[in-house]
Amino acid sequence: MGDTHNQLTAVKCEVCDALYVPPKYLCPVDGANQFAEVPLSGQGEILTYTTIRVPSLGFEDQAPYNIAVIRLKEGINLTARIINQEGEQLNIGDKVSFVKRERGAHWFRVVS
Amino acid sequence: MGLRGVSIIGIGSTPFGILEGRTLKEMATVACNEAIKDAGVERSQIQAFYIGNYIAGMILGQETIAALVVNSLGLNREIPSTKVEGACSSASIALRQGHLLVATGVYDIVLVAGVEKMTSASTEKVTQALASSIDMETEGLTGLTFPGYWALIAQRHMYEFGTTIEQLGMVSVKNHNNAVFNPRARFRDPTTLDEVMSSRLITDPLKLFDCCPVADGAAAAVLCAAEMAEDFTKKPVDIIGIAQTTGYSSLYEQAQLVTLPATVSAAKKAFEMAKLKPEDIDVVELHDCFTPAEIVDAEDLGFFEKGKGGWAVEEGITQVDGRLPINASGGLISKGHPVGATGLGQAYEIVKQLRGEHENQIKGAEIGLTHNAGGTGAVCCVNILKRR
Repeated sequence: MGDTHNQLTAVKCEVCDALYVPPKYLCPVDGANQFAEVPLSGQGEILTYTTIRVPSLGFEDQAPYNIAVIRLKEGINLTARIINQEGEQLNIGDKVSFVKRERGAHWFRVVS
Repeated sequence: MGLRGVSIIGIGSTPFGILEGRTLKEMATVACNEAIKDAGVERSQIQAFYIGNYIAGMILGQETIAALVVNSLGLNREIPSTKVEGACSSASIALRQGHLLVATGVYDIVLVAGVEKMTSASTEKVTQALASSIDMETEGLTGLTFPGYWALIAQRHMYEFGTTIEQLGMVSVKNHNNAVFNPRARFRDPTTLDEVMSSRLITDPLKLFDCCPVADGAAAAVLCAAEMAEDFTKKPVDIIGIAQTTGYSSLYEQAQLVTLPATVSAAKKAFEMAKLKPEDIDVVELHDCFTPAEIVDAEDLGFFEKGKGGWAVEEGITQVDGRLPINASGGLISKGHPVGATGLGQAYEIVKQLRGEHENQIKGAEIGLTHNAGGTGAVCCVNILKRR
């Protein structure tokens, strides 16, 4: 869980080609359990975002922090952390790029 | 299979709020006992017990609550007692389980309840416990909180439909001003849009006054076969539509970010069962855990076209003197949200409306609706109630 990954990957259902990030145990579309791991572009855009100012236990030292739902270039959505850059205001439609996966959370940064 | 009609013949509730020194067991006992007395049934006539609870295991270390309450009430130990959990819709699930058992003829009289004790724990601990209904293998690992979940929806709703921050604030103002009349509400002071707008940011764009407060509380109801109801009470309220559906355990998996699919499906089923349409409803208690939820829920229930909910609030349609009064009790925003009790708290308010006994009475209310969503909309219950 402590591993850091720098390549964004998905699993692809070998029956219907649906992509999932994070992985699934079964493909909810067809019930198949055979998946192949595939690399993704790591590029996407912000569909919606917020800044969490009152955190949950275990996240106190990180607040305030940004969370967004991202539409990846490959057409799937993902809830992720957006690295906070000084003075930066997030907007819906901002282009983002994958940075890392750490303790199960995906991190992106806004690209200009 | 033919189903029997089911009626609510008795209701009970503690106030919702900071009930210092009052325990989980005590609150559940008081609400249940009040419902039993209100129904005019003997304790020995109760044939099954269901109770909703969400976070007592996590924050109080108390589980197996159903048996605890049966023993506290001195009910017959030969009856089954069961706790049900579906996050913030736990109490509505208890109501539905009771309804099913009576409707199918297994039992004639069932007691259902919901209870939560929240205010004795720290904000961080409660926030963590509430966030446990987010998928902790995926979205939960980002540090998303419940206010954060609704902030993401609010932000997208504002972007797609032009819903304004002020419209969110107007939900809070309306519900605070309704709660002035409700002795069961946690917050009973009126407020203004200025006060709401200047309250501190919790998770952008939601401010403190956009969020419901935690609360302690319990609510209960006695259910009975409709054909027997008038043996006990002159004012039975019939459950004419009831549905529970499943949504998503994380926001990113939803195709649309401005709706709760489980609300849409539960409303459809409940209206079909009742053979009614949204315009037939006189009074609504819906799940306004955050101000954008009231707007999104009202749309998803079919009361307003998608995207128009904010304007319905602005035009006063959802005020007590409007065409469709929503949350005359003060809603979760002002009445408070003891998560495992809320669904039956809503039923309590609607039953009082339909009996003509509510402190903020909607004149001539005959048909009411409750909407209770759990977690990320992972669970949704909709009930349609009608006076005889």
